[in-house]
Amino acid sequence: MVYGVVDAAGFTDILNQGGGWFQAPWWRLGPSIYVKKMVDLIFAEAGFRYSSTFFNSAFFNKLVMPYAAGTMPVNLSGSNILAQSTGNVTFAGSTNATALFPKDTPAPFYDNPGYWVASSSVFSNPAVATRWNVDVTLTVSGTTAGRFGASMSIRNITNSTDNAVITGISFATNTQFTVRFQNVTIPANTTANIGFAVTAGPNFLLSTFSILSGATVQWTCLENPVGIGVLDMRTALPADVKQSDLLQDLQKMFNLQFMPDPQDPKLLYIEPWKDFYSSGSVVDWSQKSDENAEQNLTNGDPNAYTNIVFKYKDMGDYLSKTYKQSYPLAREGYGGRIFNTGNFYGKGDKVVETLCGTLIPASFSTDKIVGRTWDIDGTLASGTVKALQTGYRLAQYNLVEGQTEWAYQYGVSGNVALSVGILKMPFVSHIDNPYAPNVDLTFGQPRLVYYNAVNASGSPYAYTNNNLYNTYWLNYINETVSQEALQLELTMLLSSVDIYQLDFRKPVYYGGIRWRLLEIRDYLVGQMKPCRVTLRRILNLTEFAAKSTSPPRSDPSGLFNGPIDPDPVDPGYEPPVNPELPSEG
Amino acid sequence: VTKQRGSFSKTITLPNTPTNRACFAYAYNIQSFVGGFQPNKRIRAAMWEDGVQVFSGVLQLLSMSKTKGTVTYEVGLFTDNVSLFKAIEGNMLVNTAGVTGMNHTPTSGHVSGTWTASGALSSGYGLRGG
Repeated sequence: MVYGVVDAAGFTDILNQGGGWFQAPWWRLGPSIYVKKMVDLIFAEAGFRYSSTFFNSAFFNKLVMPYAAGTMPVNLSGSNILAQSTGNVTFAGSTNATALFPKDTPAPFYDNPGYWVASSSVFSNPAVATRWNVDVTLTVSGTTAGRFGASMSIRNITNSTDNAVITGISFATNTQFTVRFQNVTIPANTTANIGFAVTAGPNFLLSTFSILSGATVQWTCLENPVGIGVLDMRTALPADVKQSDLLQDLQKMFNLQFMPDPQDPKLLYIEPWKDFYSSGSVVDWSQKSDENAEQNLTNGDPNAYTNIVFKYKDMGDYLSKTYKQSYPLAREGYGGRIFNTGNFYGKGDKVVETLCGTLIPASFSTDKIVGRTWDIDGTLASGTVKALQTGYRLAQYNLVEGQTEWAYQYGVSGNVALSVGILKMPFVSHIDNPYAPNVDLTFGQPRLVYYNAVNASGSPYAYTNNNLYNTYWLNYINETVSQEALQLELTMLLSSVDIYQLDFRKPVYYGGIRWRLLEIRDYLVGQMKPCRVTLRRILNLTEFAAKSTSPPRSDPSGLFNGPIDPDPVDPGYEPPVNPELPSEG
Repeated sequence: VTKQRGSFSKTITLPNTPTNRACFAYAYNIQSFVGGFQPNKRIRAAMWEDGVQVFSGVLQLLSMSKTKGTVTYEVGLFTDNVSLFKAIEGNMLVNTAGVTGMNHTPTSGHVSGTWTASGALSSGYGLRGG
């Protein structure tokens, strides 16, 4: 797993969160699980194995599922404390007394976080500020019976001040009463105890008083960023997603081909389509065809789609909403791609939509570019950030060297955040590196990116068209739907040895050219009878070579790079002339 | 592609040879109630052709035919391979065995310790893919 910097609840660089600076506290970063790890666990649980150069590649090893719950859950009950006094403690009537609760064990008493120093009845706060409800239940006896007044406090021993004070408490001697301190903030790295002072009775002070044995103090935690305890990694995964959903999404993204080993069905060969066929030598079936039998040839796309649409699921966060508002007609959404087949007879669209979403990077009031998953009520300047569950997304992790340091907050001292400046950013997004884009997990170039990444001379970095569509789908689409596409169904007489040695990775040589084997039908075991074989012609397409395109930096405010020039692979792409750029408010 | 062997099935008719008779435990004997053939049990089977194994899976006795005293057995051959997607059908990602093995107590040091350059292949804190 890796704790990449993903902004799930609004960092300080958003204007209404402070703005002007970027600081990421460690407890606001959730662990992303490597996809490779999950794939391995799924295969192991199912009793399968795989052989895959792609799954073992350095690129695939950088794929992650960002922490699905958004921010890490805090197990507040793990921070609670219940302690009891063990004997009567007597004070002079004018004393500013300290209530003692030295018994925090055994049950029913407890000190879950280990913050209560029982021997001195002192609360020792951790390195970040915490918030509490504190209930003190006690019985006071005195030399005189009747009703009296008192004040109580949660003292800040470190600063000789009070964290909270309640005055005007009216109590009757020898009668149990409870005082609640609500929503008390205890500063980081401070100690505290419970103060008690008799202020006045209706007519007089108690000359002496005793806090009787059996008094209790209950610390109920409201907020404790470091009280995460043991993190259940199931919270890192989306609750409503199946194992097969992950594998299917990987198949959709990388055009994966799955083939079981003929001799060992539990062993699967898995490669992207572009690599799947390169591992097998050609098998010559030139002499196996029954030339007198009917041959069916289909030109172009047998399914005759008008468009093939690749898209990620819309996750409903601020950036994807903004993109949709800017380009309402772009039904492929951010990071999607529409391929028009140019087929006059085409009907309908083939939509390849993943169940996962992508993770959109953005910079706001600083130059720090990180993936953002939150939504906002109102404007960016004055609205309220709504932390969303990050949900099911797939992205890539890279340790990116930014241009300036970012502040990693590792603790708090008093009211001061303890941070360290770090130049390298653990970056999680669809793009590998906004300062040197090389690999993009989108299907198509976004028309706009929500960050401002410029070099020393102020020019934006060029974007890459090395995306999923161009790398993994382009040649496949051309081979299946272009005007050169050709599918052939013919009759062949295949022997048992042919079937035994059958390997879909091996191109079939027939009629002077190479074909891909798609299907064998009506093969009868034990009988040398003809069967029907479906082949698809292999086109000699060159492998995709990535190019970069430059954002023209038309945003007058200079806040974002973009829009981006058309992808050279898809000249039909029309970037908007006057995009409605999201503003800072 | 996954259809290659995952959906294979074939029905064949076997003669009543002494070996087959013994294998099927005289299942055609209508007066036999005890200790005969057990049709509900999984029977491993393989088929060879020209010395090449062309099938491996399970065999099911579908029915028997008796005509003028001559018995034949109709059996079905099925691959017992379960595809990966069938095996994991309905399994939720959060319940994947091994996920809870990654449970840990996060601290600021642990968090920054995961920031390695090469992803799952690199050394670092916690469990890694692979």
